[in-house]
Amino acid sequence: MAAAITEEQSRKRVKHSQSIDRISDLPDSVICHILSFLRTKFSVRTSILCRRWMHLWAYKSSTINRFGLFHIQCSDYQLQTWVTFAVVRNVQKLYLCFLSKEDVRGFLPRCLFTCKTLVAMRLRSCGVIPVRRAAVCLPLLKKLHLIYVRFEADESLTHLISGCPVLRELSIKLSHAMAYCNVSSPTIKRLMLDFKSDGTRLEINTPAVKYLKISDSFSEHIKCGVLNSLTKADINLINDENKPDYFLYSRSLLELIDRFRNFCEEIQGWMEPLQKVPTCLLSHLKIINVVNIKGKKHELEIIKYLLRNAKVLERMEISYPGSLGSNEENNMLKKISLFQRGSGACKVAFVAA
Amino acid sequence: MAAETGTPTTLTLKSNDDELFSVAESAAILSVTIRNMVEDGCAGGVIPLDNVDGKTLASVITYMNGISAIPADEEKKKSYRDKFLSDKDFETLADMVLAANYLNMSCLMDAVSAKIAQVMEKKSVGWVRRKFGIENDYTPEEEAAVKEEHKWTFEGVETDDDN
Repeated sequence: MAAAITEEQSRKRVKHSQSIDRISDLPDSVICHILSFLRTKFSVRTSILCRRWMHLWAYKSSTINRFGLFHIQCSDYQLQTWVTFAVVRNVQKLYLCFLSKEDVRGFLPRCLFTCKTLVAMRLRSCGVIPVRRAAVCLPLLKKLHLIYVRFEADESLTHLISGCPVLRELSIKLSHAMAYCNVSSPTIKRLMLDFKSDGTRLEINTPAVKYLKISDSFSEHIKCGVLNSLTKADINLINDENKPDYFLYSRSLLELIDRFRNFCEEIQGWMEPLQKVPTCLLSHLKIINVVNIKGKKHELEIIKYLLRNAKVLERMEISYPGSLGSNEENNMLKKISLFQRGSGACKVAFVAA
Repeated sequence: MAAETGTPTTLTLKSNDDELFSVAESAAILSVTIRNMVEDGCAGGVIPLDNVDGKTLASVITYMNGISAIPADEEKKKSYRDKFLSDKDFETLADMVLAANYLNMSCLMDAVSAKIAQVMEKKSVGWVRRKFGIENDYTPEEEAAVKEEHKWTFEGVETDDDN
């Protein structure tokens, strides 16, 4: 058999094993460099190869651009080790995303909140933000997403934001109770808040915000500072009558809507509330003034709703711009005067301004 | 140092199996190792490269010439690198990473390392051991313990090697 091996084959074999020898002699630094191009999961997997490789992945290059753990099973201790590992290597983008909404995890390591290199961070169901009085210094952080994370205390969030001097985008989804949520930052341009937690007092103070998205059903009270830079807003508020102080809540909403007056040129639609008619409308409200009505569909629908449901209304004054064409004017007046009225004593006055 | 005569200076490189190669200095100094020799004035005669064989050196020189002909356009350089490495087998890549390391050429080093990583990612543990000439020196118990410790890294991994 051995004689059957041609010289050519034998030379190839020798060459092949020389090549293998050279590769198995790759210096650690070269292997580590190669491993630094592998995704985290695959570089850790190389620890199975042999004793020499067991820890090589851990010495991979001195900086990590992007570090992510997605939907894996690991203990709190392992998570802390991972995060420390990434922070020590000057991580720029960190993503920790776990599936469970039920947050049973412990504190995130403090070193995460003093990471000088972080630019973007997304945390999802991955532990408790420990910040209370501890230092927060994230000088480069621009993008922060906090999805179903918990805070050691309500002020942890405020404290965390105040440690991010160049923050531009903040997204918070909340599923647990937070009594007081204060979002204050002079630099935030995009703000997304999605609250599914009961009884939160929400306070927003972000004067530079350009885009605002609020999805909220459970806040007790919303207070909002000036929004003079706003160019786009998606607001989805679900009315819930079980507020402890419904009057206060309604008032805070009116104030919020008033904040949009500067930029809001057009409301595109209105939907009749599905819930029962508010008590104030049924038994208290006597005078309503609506101004600057142009006969648009949603305007007429609001007027229709108010006229039908305001049971003790005495007077509704509707003013419209004098510039309105006489055809449009006639049409509008005709339509409104035909609306059903819940209060027999109600007078409707039209004023051309 | 080269006198400014108007003609490009040419260097002669010698591989460890005694092949000689001519290459323009402007391309060769992509290698920091060679640049240092040039700057130190040791590049007068033949530059011996004791850790690179002729076949690999020929490849590296092709790369040096190709990449230095492209003006400062990172996109084009990247696509040249991708194309240059696309038909190289694992052994050639491994030889090139060693050469790039020895010659201190960071752009080639990064490109080849990334390519090797890309190839490795899809392969089984057995394949990687074979190709890297790794002898498994774990006891079965140790191997099981390492596997258990990093269990998650073995979940949902499909390999495409069959040789």
